[in-house]
Amino acid sequence: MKRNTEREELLRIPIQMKLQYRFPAGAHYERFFRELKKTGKIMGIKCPECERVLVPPRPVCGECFTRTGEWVEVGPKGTVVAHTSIYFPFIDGSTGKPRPIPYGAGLIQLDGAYSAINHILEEGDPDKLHIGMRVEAMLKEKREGNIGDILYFKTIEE
Amino acid sequence: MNPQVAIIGTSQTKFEADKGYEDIPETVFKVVQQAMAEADIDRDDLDSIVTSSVDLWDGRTASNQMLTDVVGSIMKPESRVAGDGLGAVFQGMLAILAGASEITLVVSQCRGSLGVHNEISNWVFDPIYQQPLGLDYLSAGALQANHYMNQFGISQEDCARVVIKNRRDAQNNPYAQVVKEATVEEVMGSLMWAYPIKEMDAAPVSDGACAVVLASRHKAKALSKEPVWILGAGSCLDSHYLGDRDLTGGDALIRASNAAYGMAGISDPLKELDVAEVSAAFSYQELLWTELMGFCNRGEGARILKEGQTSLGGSLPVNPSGGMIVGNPVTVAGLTRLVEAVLQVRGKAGDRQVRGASRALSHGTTGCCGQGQYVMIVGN
Ligand SMILES: [Zn+2]
Repeated sequence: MKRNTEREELLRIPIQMKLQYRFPAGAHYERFFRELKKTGKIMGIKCPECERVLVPPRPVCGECFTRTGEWVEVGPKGTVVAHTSIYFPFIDGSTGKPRPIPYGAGLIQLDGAYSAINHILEEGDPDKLHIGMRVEAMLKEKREGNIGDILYFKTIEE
Repeated sequence: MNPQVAIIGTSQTKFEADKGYEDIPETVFKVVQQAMAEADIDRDDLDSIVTSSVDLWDGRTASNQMLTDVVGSIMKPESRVAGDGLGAVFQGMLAILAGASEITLVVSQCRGSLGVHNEISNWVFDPIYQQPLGLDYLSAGALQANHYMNQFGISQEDCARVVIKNRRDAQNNPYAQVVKEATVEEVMGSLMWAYPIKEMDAAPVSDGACAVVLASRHKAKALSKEPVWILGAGSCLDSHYLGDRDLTGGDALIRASNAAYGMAGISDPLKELDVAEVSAAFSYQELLWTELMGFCNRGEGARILKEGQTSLGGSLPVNPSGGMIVGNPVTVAGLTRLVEAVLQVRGKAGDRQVRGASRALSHGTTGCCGQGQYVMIVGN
């Protein structure tokens, strides 16, 4: 029996997806980033009903289905609630360069906040990371009003 | 049979070319709150939520992600229709008919201003055979327009008269985006985009949102003094590939409307319906859709319009709100039609009210050239 071992290469059609968008930041994101840029403060917003402080700030507390109210400063210290160490290269959108690996990535609950925020951890060694460890936000000298204004969270001893 | 599902609350935004002054959750929260206030319910009363939005328009995947907080769906069943808002109403209605939900919120949002229309609608087509040729909603619509106009001897002026009627009626609609009247000469003289469609024949880029609250028969009677009942509903999908379709035949819309008429016990829509709100993104489509829904014989859409039968005061006013031509975002259009239909049968349509309206048709469509069709008849 003759077997057909030679296969023709499958036809693949390369297509590059390119679409342009303009997102309105909205009042809450705008104020959050303006404050971060100007004063280096990280702001949350309080729900008048459940009194949780949500970060990033947003118009509505989803849990209570209520309009949020008072702006409050949170952090810059916080507690790691989840962490990982990344070993694959990631192109940093703000620099256009790959971030050195390994690096730590975490969910950080800033002091005074209910929601934890995603960010980079200075510590990348999984053996030196643990849930409950204390960290502090390190800010850029020249801030631009985006999430990159927080460079990373560094481990602190208390 | 007694109708089983009612609409007990509605709301719509003002439609605008660019709502960039507020974010999408803010816009959506406002319409949701208004619709729920009208229905006199709070979040605890909501059994389920259906949203309609399309990832490509919103520039993100799973575009309902940004709506969870503001549509009240934390810890509740939410599903999304990636298409027209009237299609989302069908999903909500089915949940109620199945007994899985008594009160369902349906929300549709879209912002035409975020992206570039022809880039986005280019992505609706097959990436290998059609996208590289630059096909988009406009150029596909132009193929359909010509096909239809050739078959029945419809002129560009006939189509322009749709724009004239709708822009005139939009003067009475506080939610309309385009409120400037036009003349046939102006439409004919506007920029040729894709023959025979000119700039003024097309719906403008638009931002906005709509919400409705659906309720089971039992809940509607308990909660609402003026429930508006879904008397008939039909939907139908044609093939996606344009080349397989009869562009003017419109079988999907014929089937969808016949299903709705059958349920509602309607045999002569022109006589038995009081008002129709139709989703037509281009002027020719209003003529074509009205024929396919049996308001007149094939090829006579332009005639009944010219005679004033589809104008406010005529036997069956079509789009007294002004319709999509005066601005409704693509995927919100069908739900806007339903909101307008409900306002009409409640007698709450303000200066665009059709006197004594008790049965109204709303129509939505999804995909290009009317691939998916939804028809819903409401009444009190
Ligand atoms: Zn809350």
